[in-house]
Amino acid sequence: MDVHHAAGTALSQLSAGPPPAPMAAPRFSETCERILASVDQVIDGKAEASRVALTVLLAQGHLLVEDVPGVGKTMLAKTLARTIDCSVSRIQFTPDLLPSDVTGVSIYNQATRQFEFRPGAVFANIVIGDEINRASAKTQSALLECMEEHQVTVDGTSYGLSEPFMVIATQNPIEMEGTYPLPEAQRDRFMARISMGYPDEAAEIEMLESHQSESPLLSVQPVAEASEVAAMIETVKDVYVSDPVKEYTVALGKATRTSDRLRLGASPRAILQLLRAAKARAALDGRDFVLPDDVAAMAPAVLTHRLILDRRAAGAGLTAAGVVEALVASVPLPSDGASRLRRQG
Amino acid sequence: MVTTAPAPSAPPPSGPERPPHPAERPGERLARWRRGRAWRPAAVGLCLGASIVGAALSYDGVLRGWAWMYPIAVVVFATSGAVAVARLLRAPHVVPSLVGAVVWVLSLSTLFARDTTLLGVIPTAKTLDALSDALSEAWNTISFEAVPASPNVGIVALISGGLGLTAIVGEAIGVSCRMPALAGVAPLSVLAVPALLKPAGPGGWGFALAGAAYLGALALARAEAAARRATRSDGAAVSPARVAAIIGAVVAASLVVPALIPGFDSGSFPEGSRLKYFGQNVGLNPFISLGSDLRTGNGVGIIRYATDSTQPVYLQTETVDSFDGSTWGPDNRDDQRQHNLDSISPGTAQTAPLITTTTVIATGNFTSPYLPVPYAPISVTGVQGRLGWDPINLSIKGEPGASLGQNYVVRSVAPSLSAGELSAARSAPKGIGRETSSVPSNVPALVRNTAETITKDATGSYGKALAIQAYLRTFTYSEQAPVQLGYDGTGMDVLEKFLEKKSGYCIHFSAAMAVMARLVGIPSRIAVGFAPGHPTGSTIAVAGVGSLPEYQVDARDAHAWPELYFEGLGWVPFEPTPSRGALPAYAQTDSPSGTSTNLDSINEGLRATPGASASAAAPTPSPSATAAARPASAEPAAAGVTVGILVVAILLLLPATIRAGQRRRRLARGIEGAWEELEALGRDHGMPPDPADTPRTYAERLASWEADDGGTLRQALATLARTYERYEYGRPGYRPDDDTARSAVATVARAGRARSSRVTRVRIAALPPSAFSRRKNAKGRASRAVKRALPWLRRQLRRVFNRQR
Repeated sequence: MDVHHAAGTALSQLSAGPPPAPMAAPRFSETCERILASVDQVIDGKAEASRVALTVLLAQGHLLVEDVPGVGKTMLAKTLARTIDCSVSRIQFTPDLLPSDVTGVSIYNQATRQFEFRPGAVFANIVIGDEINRASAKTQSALLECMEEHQVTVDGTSYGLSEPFMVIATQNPIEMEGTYPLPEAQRDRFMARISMGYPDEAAEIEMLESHQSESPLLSVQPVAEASEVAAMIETVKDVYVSDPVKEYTVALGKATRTSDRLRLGASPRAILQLLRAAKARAALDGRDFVLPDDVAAMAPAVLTHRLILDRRAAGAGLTAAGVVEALVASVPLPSDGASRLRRQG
Repeated sequence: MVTTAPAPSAPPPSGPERPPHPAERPGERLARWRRGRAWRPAAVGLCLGASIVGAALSYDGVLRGWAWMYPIAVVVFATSGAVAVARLLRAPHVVPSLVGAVVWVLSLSTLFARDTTLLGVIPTAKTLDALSDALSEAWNTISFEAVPASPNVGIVALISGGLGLTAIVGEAIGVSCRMPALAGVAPLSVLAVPALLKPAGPGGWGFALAGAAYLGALALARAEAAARRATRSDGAAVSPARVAAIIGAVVAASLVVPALIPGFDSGSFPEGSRLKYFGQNVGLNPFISLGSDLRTGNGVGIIRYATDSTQPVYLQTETVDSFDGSTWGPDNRDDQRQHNLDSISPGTAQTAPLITTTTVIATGNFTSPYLPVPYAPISVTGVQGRLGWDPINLSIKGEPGASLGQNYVVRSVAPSLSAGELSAARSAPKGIGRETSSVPSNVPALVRNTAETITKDATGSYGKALAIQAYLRTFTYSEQAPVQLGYDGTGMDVLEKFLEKKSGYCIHFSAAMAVMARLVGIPSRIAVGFAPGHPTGSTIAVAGVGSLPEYQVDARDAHAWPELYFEGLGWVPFEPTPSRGALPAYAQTDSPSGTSTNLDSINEGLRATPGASASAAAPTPSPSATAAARPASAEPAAAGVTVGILVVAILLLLPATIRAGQRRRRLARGIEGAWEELEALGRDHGMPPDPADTPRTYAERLASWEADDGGTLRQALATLARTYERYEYGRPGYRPDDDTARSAVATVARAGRARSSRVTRVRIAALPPSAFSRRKNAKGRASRAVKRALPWLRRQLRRVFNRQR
């Protein structure tokens, strides 16, 4: 078991504080650019992955990074956490990790003769769960409940988690011996899943140079405050979604359910998270309204890990990602005439 | 600790095992069948079959009687029924059609060649022979008989087989290929035959039944398609009441609308272009084919003859002497015909001096059972085949098509008549059949009164006959008027209409004179044949007679004229039809023939001037009318060419004009219209928007038109796409700059033109594909228009209502 606590663990009993004010558009873009530039210093040639990670952070989702060992999963998570001046905790999941290690535990204080709550690793703004599939299902569940509810309840008392709150879990799909793969229901809690993939040749050479002496992670300085990120999240919430885009999102979800190549389609939660991710992407792109393009762009990352391929499709060598791409390319945009009518009427 | 996760020892399930689609149980299958998935395709086929049988009703008038209807209905319904049963049993792919084909063969065998089949059903080699015989019989009927044809086994077998096959093919198109609308060609092809053959068109009942059954098939197919689409739910089927209402409305409209709009009187559909519903059928009728012949305008079936008569002769083919009932036709006395064509005896006593005429006739490709001969023939030599002459009216008749390619010599006798002899002759029905003097029972009062009025001052049979003829010669000759005004055909009601409108062609004139003659006591009949025609200018050497002038007649000379009986003189022809035929000397009166006019000018305008001998006898229409008609014909021709060129030019420019109008309207509508115009440009240049295209992706695709122009196109497209997506998906209230959008569209249009070849540019300009494509939001726009119109309509109604109060 390996639980690190970063400085400034935020522990607060659940209280409804006023939400931070949304951030103005130019400052939003500028902050985003700073964060992405900082991440790109460390992770070479993975701009799209770091962009999706930031999108998920701003959309208040959680990220599942799935790939073979050594491609920088943990590095991405750590860098993102470090660029933001916020609390970070990292949990190395192992089979003997207990749920209380994640959530925290009440301990009897001899001096005060009272139970005292010792917060677990989840009490941080960014929680990095390494190799989440190595922990028991019970421990996984404990983390996933925190993810969903943004709070921890121990001995009848609820403790709110500080905002922003994001779990970045990594998972190794190759080495499955002695692992507890996340069931579909649990995977559904993650807003998006990304695969790092191998860097291209140039990026790899650059990596060899930059990582030779010392980890570039050490040189990363925070470029944004946690409060700034919270304000950015508020900005994302304000992004406008027109009816045609909602219709399109629903149509996309419906297409996954009716596709004969999929055994399990997208859940309503998946659709909700898809739209949230699309809003964050729109904001990252400097817009205050969502385009169908945003939905289409986020669909592979948001939907793929929730879908189960039909056996015949799997046998034919199709992948869930391929099916989602085909659906995006085929689902028609809602007729603009009808939407205009609604806008006018 | 709040987590209640399972113990780590139990591995979590790898995924939901329950498949989303549970396997169909047998009970469910039955339930699904009951819900109506299986019966609809079967019913579509049956409806198409019914529409074919309905359409077959219009063969009344193509075939005589109604006996043919039963085998047709049996074959079509047996075939469609078999296909439907196969559909009910969910037979796959082509199996239903194959089943239909088998039943088709069986039903044809058992109906038309039962003696040759095994067990009355299974066809044998002999059945094939029998059916091939039937086919050749049908071929004979088609080649040689005029409508309505006799419903012999051959033609009925052919029609039954054809319609059965049509039913199978129509069903396959409608159900197997899922193109129910296209399956309408099946009943349509059935209706096409009577539409072409019957002057009155297919008739209302057949059309209505075929149309109703076809619409029923369409409605069922639509419900089936809706059910097929709604795979997860039961699907919203079309309500039967709505379907019934729509069917009723469409059929009613199709019957009413043609009556309200003027019909065509020229062009490809000069007749039969409107339905003649619920009226009497014209029946076996040489008159109708005669009318059609006259209207064809081009000479077909040329007959040549050479005669030693001083005047060109009328060629008579058949005679109509019974006018009772609604249909008039020639005699049906085939059993009494005599076959010794060497000695034909007129049968009526002749007191006047007779002139014998020798005529050599070559019928060419004139096809009829009757032989055209000058009246009254006393001998016919050189005829091929077995023909017989009727003792009463001397018509010479053989098998259908007996007249084809005959060359024969006719010797005929005609009394040398003069006015004096005719005035002296009595016109008593003596020595002739009663049917030529019996007044039809259903003569309208108008005809009766007219006959009485015009013959009031005339004395004697001859005088009365001349009075009637003179009266009728004041009418207008027109082959089109009866068709346009709906009284083409025969029967007393037609006659009444003719006397009202004072316009018609030889049938009407001759029938009117014949009936009125009987009303005043003169036996009469109508001779059908050909007016004298015109000389060819060449001569024919005939053995024993010498060199004779040759004449030729064709379909445009088809004619009918009345013959009145005068005792001792026999049947005397008259010519009440103005501007047709030749008015005999004895029938000439003082009445001015110039008052009559020929509306159609067929005889004068198109034909060569008859030779001197003919023109002397031919009645000449007023010279002034002819003179006026000649130069006038050049001007209309020029005008016609101009109008034609204009029409062609308009037609050529129409797509471009439509496209220009669309562009103007779109660009006036702001960014939305500008985007529509951009999509139209894409369509025109072969890059239409995909339904899954977003503004951004479409603009990206169009950017491939970029020539090396410094990114102007890319910039214009980006501007358009950014503006449009903000307008379409952004917060309401965005007011984009329309001029920028317009100039961006212009840039894209330029880029599109620049990348296409000259030929492509011309093609796009002449036939812009976007002008013909249905825009994806057409439906939305229609619904918006309706939505806008509804409150307005409501306001107007309320206003009217308030005013009423």
